[in-house]
Amino acid sequence: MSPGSAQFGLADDSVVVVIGSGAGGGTLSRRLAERGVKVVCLEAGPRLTLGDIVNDEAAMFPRITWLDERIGQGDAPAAFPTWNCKTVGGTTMHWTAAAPRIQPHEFKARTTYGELADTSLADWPLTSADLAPYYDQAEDLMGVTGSHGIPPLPGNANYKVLEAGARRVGYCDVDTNTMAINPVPRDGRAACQQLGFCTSGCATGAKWSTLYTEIPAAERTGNFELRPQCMAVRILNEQGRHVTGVRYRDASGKEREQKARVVCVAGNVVETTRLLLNSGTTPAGLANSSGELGRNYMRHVMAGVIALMPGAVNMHKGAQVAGVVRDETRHDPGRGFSGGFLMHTLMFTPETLARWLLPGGAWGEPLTRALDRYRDMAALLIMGEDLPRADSRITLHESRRDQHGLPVPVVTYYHHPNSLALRNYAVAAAGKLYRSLGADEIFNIVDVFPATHNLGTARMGEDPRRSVCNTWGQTHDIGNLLISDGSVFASAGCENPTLTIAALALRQGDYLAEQLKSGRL
Amino acid sequence: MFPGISRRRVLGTLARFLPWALFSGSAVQILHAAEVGAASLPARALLPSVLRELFPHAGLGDEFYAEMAGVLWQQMLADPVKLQEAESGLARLSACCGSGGWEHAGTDARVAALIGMQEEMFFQALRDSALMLIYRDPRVWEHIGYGGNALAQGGYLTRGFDHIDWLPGVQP
Ligand SMILES: Cc1cc2nc3c(=O)[nH]c(=O)nc-3n(C[C@H](O)[C@H](O)[C@H](O)COP(=O)(O)OP(=O)(O)OC[C@H]3O[C@@H](n4cnc5c(N)ncnc54)[C@H](O)[C@@H]3O)c2cc1C
Ligand code: SF4
Repeated sequence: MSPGSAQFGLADDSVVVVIGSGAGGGTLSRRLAERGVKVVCLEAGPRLTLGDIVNDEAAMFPRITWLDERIGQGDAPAAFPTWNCKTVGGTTMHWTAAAPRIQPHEFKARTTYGELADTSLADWPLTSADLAPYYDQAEDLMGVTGSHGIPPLPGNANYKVLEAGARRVGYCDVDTNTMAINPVPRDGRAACQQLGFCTSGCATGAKWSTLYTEIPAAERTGNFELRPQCMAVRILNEQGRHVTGVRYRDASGKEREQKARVVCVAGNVVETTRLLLNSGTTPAGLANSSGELGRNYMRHVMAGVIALMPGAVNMHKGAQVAGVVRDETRHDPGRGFSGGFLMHTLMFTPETLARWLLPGGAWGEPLTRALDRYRDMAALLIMGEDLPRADSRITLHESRRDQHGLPVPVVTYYHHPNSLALRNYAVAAAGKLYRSLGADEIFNIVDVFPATHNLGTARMGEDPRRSVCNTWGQTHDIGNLLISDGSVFASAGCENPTLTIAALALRQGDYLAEQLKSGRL
Repeated sequence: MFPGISRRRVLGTLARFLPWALFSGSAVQILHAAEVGAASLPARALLPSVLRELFPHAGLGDEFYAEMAGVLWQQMLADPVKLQEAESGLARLSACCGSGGWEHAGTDARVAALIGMQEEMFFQALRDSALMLIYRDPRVWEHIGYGGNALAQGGYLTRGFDHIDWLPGVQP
């Protein structure tokens, strides 16, 4: 426990319990605590300090990653379908901190894209204008470059290649991205030292992570108690009409029950869905009168493009994703698909490339000839809008149980044909970009990435028969149960989702504080 | 990004039940069982050159592959099942190289023998363990140009993160 942190009794039913301390839960907790609401945050993972972060991917990965069993089906990798964290700070430890807003037309995806086969695509019940003030607050809170007088990050060599190639092929919306990374010291955090280890946790604290931003800020209010290594296993409820608390396992494995006035779930989609499915009196789970809980699961269309350039690039040096091309984010069905995509810089380690550069686990001279030119590699990641399908979903395994005795989650994901058309176009466009600068070989990495963005399984909407939550993330069925992570996304857009998750959490926090104050909850 | 996710996790059901073994960098622990080959060939002796055929970097000396083979072999020795699997797998590999065995085969024959076995669990486990060992080694990083721990060296902010000297129109 940190100085200033509150402590609440298990029987205190005036508290709001927030499950998860990542982008959604951490941000919401602080907002509520600052509005005078008492908050207990249950976090399955341990609490690290900045000093625990080392520049060693192989060492950090097992320390912060969520490694409990998950099963992938369909087009999801079978044994590791999703990649996120189990640690205080959640996946804001792994994240690379690109923080773009979803574009206005993407909030109206169904209306904009029209009738498409095999998708459950919907419009959001809120507009870009509704969210704008909260985007603004989230950008301030996270310290996003290009907002609130924060300068852009400098571009690394990998960015310079991206930019030069982009301009050659006629793109013009190119810069070092809107990043939640300090180019200069701000908000008590240091400036980026261009270490390039962003996905292992940022040892300088330049990258926004709730571990050292929102969580301590919440503690300073005196209204907030973090309970690390506490895994929520069931949301307690009265016949699915009202929730009364949360059962959890503490660090010693002992089961406890925290009473609550309100429960907010921010476990990052897979765990959020699992918890709700596990908490009902029937297999349908909690807050699922619509039957939509767990469905419409979206990731993003992702592909890595790696080019062997005519000279050294050293892509590993510098903030990984501080470089973006936005020209293809528009909706333009003339390209053969709906929605758009971003191209942003990325770096891959030698080990990752050894595994994935060539399809099918290649080895031998074809692989090492390319790896020997690691210095010359430039790389980008394509991130495109993914259309939801009712059959892409999170379910519970019939018989397999995890270490807590809970059913193991099954992540079933199918590419929508639109996603594949987008991917093919995008990969060709990226190849053209690099070839315009004389790249002599291009490698595309597709279909092997675990999902880093999880969205849509408790989507918001106006119609309670077709959505799980309202515009505030409050479940239609249970007024004092709210969802506070990417599960509520009605569509994916083509942007990295975390800024939107944080903005929605701030908006939800204001709404919830108001509801509690006025006694409506 | 994307460290530590072994391809065999995707392939093998066993991997599902033993995620820790894989993520802790010891995928070699899950080499599959096979019957003991009464190995007439010293399987251990083949390993360095097998590793070189799998991941041939001209800039890495024979001592390096020998050392990697030694580490792998030590890991196998710790588990009789793994050891048996490795011995019988390597013996079969050698047998695939014709009468002279692996030792006397040229690169083409060796590569052909490896290709013939590449769908086998033995091969994939060996490849994955070797991959994890080799591409996490700082000497390999240095050879191919990956910087490793940047924090210890003070970041790249003042050490060339934006240096590029061949890009048309961009000043180095
Ligand atoms: C490698 C990588 C790079 C990324 N880069 C970007 C990027 O550049 N830009 C971007 O926008 N997004 C990025 N993301 C995605 C980003 O990390 C997520 O969108 C964001 O962290 C999601 O926030 P969240 O609060 O929903 O979940 P998380 O941040 O994952 O937090 C959920 C927390 O809940 C806890 N939890 C789960 N279940 C329980 C339970 N039952 N009881 C108690 N605690 C529980 C978990 O331990 C975890 O700490 C990246 C992700 C990865 C993996
Ligand atoms: S590059 Fe910058 S943001 Fe990324 S880990 Fe290093 S200091 Fe942190």
